[in-house]
Formats: sequence, C-alpha cells, structure tokens
Amino acid sequence: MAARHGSRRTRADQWLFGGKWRGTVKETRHPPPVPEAKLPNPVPVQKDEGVCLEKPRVQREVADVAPGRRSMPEMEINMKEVVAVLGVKVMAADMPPFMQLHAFRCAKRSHDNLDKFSSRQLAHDVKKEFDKVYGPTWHCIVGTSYGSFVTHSRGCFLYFSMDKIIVMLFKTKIRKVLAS
Amino acid sequence: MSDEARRGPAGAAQAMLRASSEDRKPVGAGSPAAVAHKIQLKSADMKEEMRQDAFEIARIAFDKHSMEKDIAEYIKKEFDKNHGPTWHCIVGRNFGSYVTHETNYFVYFYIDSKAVLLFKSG
Repeated sequence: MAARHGSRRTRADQWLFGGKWRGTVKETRHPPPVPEAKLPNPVPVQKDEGVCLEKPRVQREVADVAPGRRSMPEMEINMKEVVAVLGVKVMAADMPPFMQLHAFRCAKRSHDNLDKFSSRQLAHDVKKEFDKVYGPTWHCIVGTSYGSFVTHSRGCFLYFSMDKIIVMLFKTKIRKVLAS
Repeated sequence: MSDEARRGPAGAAQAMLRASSEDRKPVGAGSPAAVAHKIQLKSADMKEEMRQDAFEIARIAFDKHSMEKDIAEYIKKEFDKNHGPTWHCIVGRNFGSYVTHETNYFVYFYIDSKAVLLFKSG
C-alpha cells in the first residue's frame, strides 16, 4: 500500500505527544488479549525537570519548547491515576494521552450508566462522543472475543480493556464521495 | 456521504444455539472431508455481487487461517485490493459495534458461529 500522509504537525506538536508520530497511515493488527501479560504503559511524557521517560529521537533547541510544557507532569500523573482508578489496560495506542483519557472516561461513564450492559450501546456512546468532540469519522468496536484488522488515521487509534471487555476506537479520514 | 449503521450480534444467542445444536448431531461414517462453511447474512448495505464476493473470500479466509485477527486481515486486504481502499474487518464470537460506512459498502454476516463485519470508510 502506498504511503499516505496526514496533515503535518509542527515539531512542538511532535514533542508534546512524545514524538510518537509517523508520517503514514498504518495498518494495525490486534492480537487476542493475553490476560496475564504485562503490557506497556501509555505513552510517557517528558517532565519539565529535564528527565526524559523516553529519550527524544530528535535534538531540539530551547526555542522549541511549547507553551504548555509545564502541564506535562500533571497530565502524566492524571493519566496514571485515571488508568488505576478505572482499571483500564492499554493494549495498543496511537493517540495523544488527553484523548486516551477522554475515551477511558467516556467508556466508563457509559458502562456504569447501562442498567444492562450492551456492547453496541457502549460503542455508540464512545463513537458519538468522539465524532462530536474531535470530528468525524470514528468507529468503535466493543466485545469480549474478536479479532480485527483496520486502517486508521495517524494519531487516532486506541485499543484498551476495561473489566473483561475490549474496546477498539479508531478514526478514518473523510473522503469526498465522487459521483458514480 | 456516509450512512451510520448500528450493528451488533443481534440474534447471536440464537445463532450460537443453532450452531451448537448442529454440532451435537452425530457424524456418520464416511462424512465428506471438506464441508462448506455455512453463511448466514444478518445485515447488508451491499450489492449482491460484492456480497457474494465477501462470502467467498470469507470462506477462503476461514480455510486458510484459524486466528480471528488473521482472518480479518485476509478479508480486509482482499477487499482493499479488489474493491479499492479503505476497508475494515472485524471477526469474532462476541462484539458490538457502532461504525460509519460509505453507502453500499457494508455487510454483516455469520460464517459458522463467528460474526464478520466488513465495511468501507475513508
């Protein structure tokens, strides 16, 4: 498949989100969940003290520091706290932390509000929330046993578990439909 | 323009019960070695010809692979190749979904006891 490039981001944006960005839309394979496996933490962020949880791949000048830098420790603490409280485990992610947190909270809220659990309803709630806040087009799959293979927009993919259910959330880019 | 579709394993219990019931039937001696996978269409916004292509490719995928993610990968890639990108495929026994798909490019069916969701978006 030919490489496709999404909208360009400034180096500051790249730095803000841990330098995980890549230039192409990628296909993501999702192995079945392994209950006992220890999975990596969400994307680490750089602290303003200069200690890097993950070493940047590109050297940056001081001028590259983004205005919001000082809020990073709060985001990190918030992320770990939320993950612990909600009991979610991130299996795979290509998504900035604040959006991940949003997804966790949204899924948790929907899950708790349902008198009788419904995979479809939870998928609906999360997808609608993300379509509204981050723009279309999002897709959400919820269940206890499934495999998948999808193509998602860069920076818009999340695969996590909550209790025994697995949630996959991803975005595809909008294309103008040509008249047939 | 896209259509939003609410799709889930509606009737999953019934389908699974049916499959289970069939599984309990005794297999007579000399049964055929190759048995075609039984397909049950649940929901579709797809032309007949393309739908049949999906069924055929799914049968091939189930014969070639055993893991759900490999089956999904095979189906998605075949459709990306034959019907233009970008397709997405979900395969499994238990899942619900809420997706937005392009008009005329959505199908949801059971093959044996597993559900297959295939749609085009992006």
